[in-house]
Amino acid sequence: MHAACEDRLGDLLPLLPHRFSEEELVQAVSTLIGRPIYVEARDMKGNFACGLRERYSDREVISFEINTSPLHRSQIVCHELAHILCGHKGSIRYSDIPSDDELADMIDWSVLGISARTSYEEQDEQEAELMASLIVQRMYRATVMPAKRPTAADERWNAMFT
Amino acid sequence: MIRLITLGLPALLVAAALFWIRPRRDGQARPAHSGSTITMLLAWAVAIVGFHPGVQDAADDVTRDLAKLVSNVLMLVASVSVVSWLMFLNHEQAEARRRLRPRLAFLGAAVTVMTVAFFAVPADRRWSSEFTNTHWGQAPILLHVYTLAYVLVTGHATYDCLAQTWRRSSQSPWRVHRAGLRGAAIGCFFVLLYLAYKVVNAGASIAGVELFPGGPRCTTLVTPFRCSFSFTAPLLGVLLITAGLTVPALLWPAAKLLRRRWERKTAQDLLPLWTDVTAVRPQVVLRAVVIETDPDVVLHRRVVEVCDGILDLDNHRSRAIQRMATEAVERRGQAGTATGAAIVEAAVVAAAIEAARTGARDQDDPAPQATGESARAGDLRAEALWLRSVSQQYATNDIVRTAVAVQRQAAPTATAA
Repeated sequence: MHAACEDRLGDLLPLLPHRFSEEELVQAVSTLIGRPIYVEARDMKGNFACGLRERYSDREVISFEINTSPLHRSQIVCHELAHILCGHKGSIRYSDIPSDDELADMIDWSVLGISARTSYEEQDEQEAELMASLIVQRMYRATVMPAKRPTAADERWNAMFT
Repeated sequence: MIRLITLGLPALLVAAALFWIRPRRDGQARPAHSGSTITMLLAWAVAIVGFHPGVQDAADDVTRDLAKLVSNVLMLVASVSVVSWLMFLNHEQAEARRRLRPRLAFLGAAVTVMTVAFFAVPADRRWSSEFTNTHWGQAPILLHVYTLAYVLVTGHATYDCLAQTWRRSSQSPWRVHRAGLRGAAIGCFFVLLYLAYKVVNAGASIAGVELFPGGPRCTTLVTPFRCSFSFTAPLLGVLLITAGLTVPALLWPAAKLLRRRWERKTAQDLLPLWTDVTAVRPQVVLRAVVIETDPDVVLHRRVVEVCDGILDLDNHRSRAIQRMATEAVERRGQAGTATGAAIVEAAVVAAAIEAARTGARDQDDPAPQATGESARAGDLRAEALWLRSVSQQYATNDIVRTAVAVQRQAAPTATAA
């Protein structure tokens, strides 16, 4: 699983600079899959998940819990992006959601599949969390280490002493 | 002393060049600008050797003041090597080479002008001649043309270096890099100061004014020692440039070591909080997948799992406990401090863990999470620092222990706001 995640990351990283933001990451994944990705902050208190990924035929929608720290939000968004990168279908169908559940109001009925970040019992969730950790780790390492193969002028200046 | 400097400094520069030539580990490619960095360091080493009394005497034995021409030409080559280095840092290799060509042509032209001017001036009218030393105002104009060509090339290279190192010194994300680049920029300033002196001295001479006592080569204006400024300023400049561009590279492995130690220690400090949070919320731990044991990965997972656990305990966060802890912190004069905020958050989390452990009812109006002030900037370091202070208070503070005791004794609904 680790090797597969690294391989997928290998496809993604060439689309990103050494130091990249969450916005740049979302844009790169969107370019890779050829569909727009919408990221929304939501107050999910009372719901069972702190992150959701909704898969539609023409778009992807990611929701993350707003009432947590910026780093945690970033991990949640990366987790949902990882579902997209891994090609997960989403283990929850719209028909699985009880009609009186708050979630039913949040999600469009045309959704093809839903992934929710709750626990890591399912293999898809494990893979997405592992992939998210690898991405966030790259983001962190880029802040403490220069690029191994600098391409832009900024990266060359930052790498000049290493 | 001069012998020691003119051999010791080049030895340092050659050592710095060898540092850049060293084989890389972990399959890391040598940066594209390595070649230009090595060239620059070696060019400066050769240029400084040009000032060695042995070299100077050997050149002057051929013809009067040839040592000046030799050392000046070597300095020009060294200056252009700085321009080359900047080009390769700022541009792709092909583009850097394209931009470098006219500068090399400029260097060639300047060296030609200086050589022609040097040999066109009779030996008994050159800088060290008695006539020029005593009648500096009547020195041949070609000597000033020589100076002008020299100053134009060196000044352009130095200004370019100063502007870029200063600008980049504010952009680098690392403190040690910023300090090094600032040091190099200050070194460039000293070299420019020396060049300005050369220009003013030459200009004054053309105008027939002996502005600086001491003749064409050196001034005695600042100190009673001959050549103190004209020797010290460029030397100090070169030393600062060399140190500024080398010391950060030498410090980098130590900085890396310290960072890894900090990551390991912080992950360890998070353990009390992580252990208790994950005991009541085991689902937040990514157990099924073996992740690398690099300290940054361990720290990252620990921080995320603590965040997940705290978020999952949201419904057990008591406003009454939060209020009680806030009042206790105020009584101790820690209100409004980062430690005070960490104590309150630790108390609320500790009570929430206790509530989850005993199966207490959810809070009707849960207390919000602490913002952690500006510490929670969004990166791993900031978040880890905040959670580490919460974890430390969680493990040791008596306000936290009181909060747990209150939660334990209270009926499930009694702690609700």
